[in-house]
Amino acid sequence: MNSLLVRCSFTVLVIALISFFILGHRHIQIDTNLNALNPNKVANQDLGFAINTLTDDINHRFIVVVSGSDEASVSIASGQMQAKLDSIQGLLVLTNETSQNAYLSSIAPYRFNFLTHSQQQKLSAANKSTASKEELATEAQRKLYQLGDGIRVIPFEQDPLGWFSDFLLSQVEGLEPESTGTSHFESFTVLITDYPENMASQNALYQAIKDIEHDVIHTNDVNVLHSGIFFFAVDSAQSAKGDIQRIAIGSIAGILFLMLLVFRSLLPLLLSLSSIAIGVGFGVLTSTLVFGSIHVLTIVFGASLIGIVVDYSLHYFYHFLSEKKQHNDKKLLRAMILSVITSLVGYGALGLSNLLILKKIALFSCSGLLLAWLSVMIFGPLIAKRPIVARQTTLMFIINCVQKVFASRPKYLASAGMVIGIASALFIVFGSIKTNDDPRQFFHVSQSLIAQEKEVSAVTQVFEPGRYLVVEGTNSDDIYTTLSLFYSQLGSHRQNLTSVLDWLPSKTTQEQNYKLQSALYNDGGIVDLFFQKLGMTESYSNDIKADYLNAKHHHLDFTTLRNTVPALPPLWIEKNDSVYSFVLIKKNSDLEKIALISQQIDNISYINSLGEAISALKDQRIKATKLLAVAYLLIAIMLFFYYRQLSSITLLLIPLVASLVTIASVAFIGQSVTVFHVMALFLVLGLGMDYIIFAKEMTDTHAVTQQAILLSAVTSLLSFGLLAFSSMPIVNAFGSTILIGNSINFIAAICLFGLTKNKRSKTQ
Amino acid sequence: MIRLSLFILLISIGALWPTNANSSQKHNSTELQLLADLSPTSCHFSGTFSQQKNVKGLPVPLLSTGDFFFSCDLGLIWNTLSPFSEALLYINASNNFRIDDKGNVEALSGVAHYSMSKIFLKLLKGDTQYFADAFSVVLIPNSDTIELTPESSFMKKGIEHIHFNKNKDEQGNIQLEIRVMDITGQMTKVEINNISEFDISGKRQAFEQCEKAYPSPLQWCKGLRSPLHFQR
Repeated sequence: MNSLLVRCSFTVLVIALISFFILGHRHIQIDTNLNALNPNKVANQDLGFAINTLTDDINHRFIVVVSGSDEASVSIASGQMQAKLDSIQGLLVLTNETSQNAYLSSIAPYRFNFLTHSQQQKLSAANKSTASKEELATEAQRKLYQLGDGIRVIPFEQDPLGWFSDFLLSQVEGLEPESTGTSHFESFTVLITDYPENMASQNALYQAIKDIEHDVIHTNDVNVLHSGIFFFAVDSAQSAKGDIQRIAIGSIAGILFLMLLVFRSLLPLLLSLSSIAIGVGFGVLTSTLVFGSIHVLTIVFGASLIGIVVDYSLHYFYHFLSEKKQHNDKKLLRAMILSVITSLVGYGALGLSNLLILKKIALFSCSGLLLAWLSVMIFGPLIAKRPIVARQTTLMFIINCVQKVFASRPKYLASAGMVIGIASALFIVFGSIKTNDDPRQFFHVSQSLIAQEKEVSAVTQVFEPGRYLVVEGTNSDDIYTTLSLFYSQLGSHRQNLTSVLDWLPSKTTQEQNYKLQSALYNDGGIVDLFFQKLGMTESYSNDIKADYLNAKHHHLDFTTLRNTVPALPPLWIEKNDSVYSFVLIKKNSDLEKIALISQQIDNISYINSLGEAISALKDQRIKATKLLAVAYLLIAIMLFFYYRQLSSITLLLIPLVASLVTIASVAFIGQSVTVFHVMALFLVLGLGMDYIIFAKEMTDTHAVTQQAILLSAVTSLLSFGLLAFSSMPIVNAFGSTILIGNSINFIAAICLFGLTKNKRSKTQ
Repeated sequence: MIRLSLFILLISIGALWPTNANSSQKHNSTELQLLADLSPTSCHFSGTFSQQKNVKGLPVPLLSTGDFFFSCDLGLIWNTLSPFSEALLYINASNNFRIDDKGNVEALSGVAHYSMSKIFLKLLKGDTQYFADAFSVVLIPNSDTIELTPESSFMKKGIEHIHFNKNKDEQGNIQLEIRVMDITGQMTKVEINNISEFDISGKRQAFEQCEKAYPSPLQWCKGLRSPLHFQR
């Protein structure tokens, strides 16, 4: 009665799960955010918000460079690309022209608040002396006549003396290159205003951009380059998608083949596939519920879960093989429980990491494993009612072969294992093995994208995406004071930075500038003298003088400026009575020098998110190694209390030796050890204990248990073996570690348990 | 980004255009011939100028007059005599100075001066290829005026067209008239006349000729020969 209730409840749960996938599949978002690999978290939430705002803005922009040998073609192609990209919903092209117009129209109404340092000095002098006023009026007249001078960026009527125009022109530093040798180029920025959240939408946008590029290239005989985090995210996601397909198809195909080959019945296959589907489905559901989306790397790792999930059904069916006369259900239940606990410990340990991605993998895997195991335990008895037949000859042949090679003298094998384990440990400790904590090395990056990135940064103004400075304060003046001090100490290095100081003076400075300009626009001021020199009456200056008076107490702040100039990055963030302002650094700057100067000034911090990520990942690697030791200790305690024998703890030597040999091997073949290698060792422990427990527990049916272990190992090795061939280094690290470690686990489980009994039974 | 945008604004008074090694093939011989006809016949000459700027929003034209000295080996002295005294020294694209009537020297920086000095020096040197690469060159029908229209969208943002007229006055002296119309509606007309060509060669002789033209103040010619003279 109870079992019927459990089955019905579980069936309802499965139906609910299926309904979720049928009705709510649109809510399943595939996340491709590479920041999940970054363990670094900012303690100050407000600062974290500010940094996230900046990071999001940088991530949502990309630069396009159109180049070619013919200037006209480049110009036409650039125009075509801008128009086509602008027509895509969710993209906003930021051309120089639109940005220029927006900037000018934003600051022009506040033109009386802007002065250069030199202009401030001149006006200070003019406010004290009539002679100075006369000089400034003459200078304005000269500039108006002069060739290549007297430029007005706003109409003459609004800036007759040209002071505002001079201010703007003084901000133009040097000449921006528009050609390199015989090649011409035009560049523009594209803002992704509606960033695609899932992989499918990202791919669609990426494809649309590629199509436009393709069209423009072929129509105009030009070259098009792009640079932006978006392209790296899509590239990694596409690479991961290939891995997912390869692993999932490979695993399923392998399992189908094995199950049909061994059982020659669809029923066990049905339960295996059902448990896989239920497990993976529940993993997706919990990930979506807890994290709002499922990360693409979770799916890659999740695909390997297939190989683990199928183990439960394999062990279950082998217990009920028809050849067996008696079934000890209690022993099976005990072995199954122990098995799932060790796997959950292995996968659950990943969740102890600070890496968000590992937490996601842990949740996905643990929830998936648990429900898959439950499905086997609940629906298994239904299938076991019918006689289960397995083709054991082939499996026995393979096991015998393995045993012949490794287990002719089990004691020697154990001793050799111990010696190799100790040698590996010594190599790891004293061999100066290479480690790598650089997150850039963790995922696959297209070489073509890196090359484009370099080319784009060589010809355009590209800022360091992961290195910048942040200024903290409680008000606007705090920020501007710190920035001014910082800039004054930077010397020529200030040319490589951009901050609010380059775009807008502080409110106090704006007020001072306005006041200083009274020398220009008050009655009898410089503007009156200027018109006199041009032979015009003073009445011509009435309009500009009225404009000046009307502009009193009007200030422009950066937030207002940025609202009208989307080209500007979010350099100014106000949150909970705190102000955070960012200073962006151009690529190829002297970062060490800039960082050094920033250290000498209060309230300004140099942020090196890459450096911090490397440091944090190193901490993670060390912490994970310690946690692994704790996991071994916990399992040792569990084994001791379960078997009530101190010798039972020696079982742990198998995964321990497997882990040591694995790390020594990957280091020996030249791989650098990462946090992902260490995390994979948790699974080596979990899977190893899985085999050992079954081998030790199911002593009555050792030959059959060994076959189950073989099948289980083959499916696991198939899944993780496929991971080892992934193009993504982190997936590859994970896969290769488990492939090597679990192979050793398997050999030990097959060769070190029940051999005496087998031999005895053979003799009989 | 904004800075680049601002730079584009500056086209309105001058032009900065890149060289294009491959583009010469596309220009027909007529264009080059028209430009060649405008070019000075000597590499060293002096003369007088009168300039008229019409600024949109300013009801009066801005008239100025003066003289100049040009040498391919040294550069240009553009000496305004009225309505005030001021000399501009265009040595090369990146070394430009303004000297007022009191002898104060000011280095002219910025894209505007860079562009203006570049266009002026190229014109006086007779660099026809430079203009052919950046403009479409046509002879306006029924006139002696050659019209240069920018070809790239970059330059079109600043200049609408430039008109050149090369005539002879009643005495048979060559006169050159340049009219630059920018997109803001500002027109600058420069008339160059009383041109005297010098049959000299080399920097030394050019300097000596400059001294003759501008014996006082001597620092103009010294500065032209060596910009370091002003930077010391």
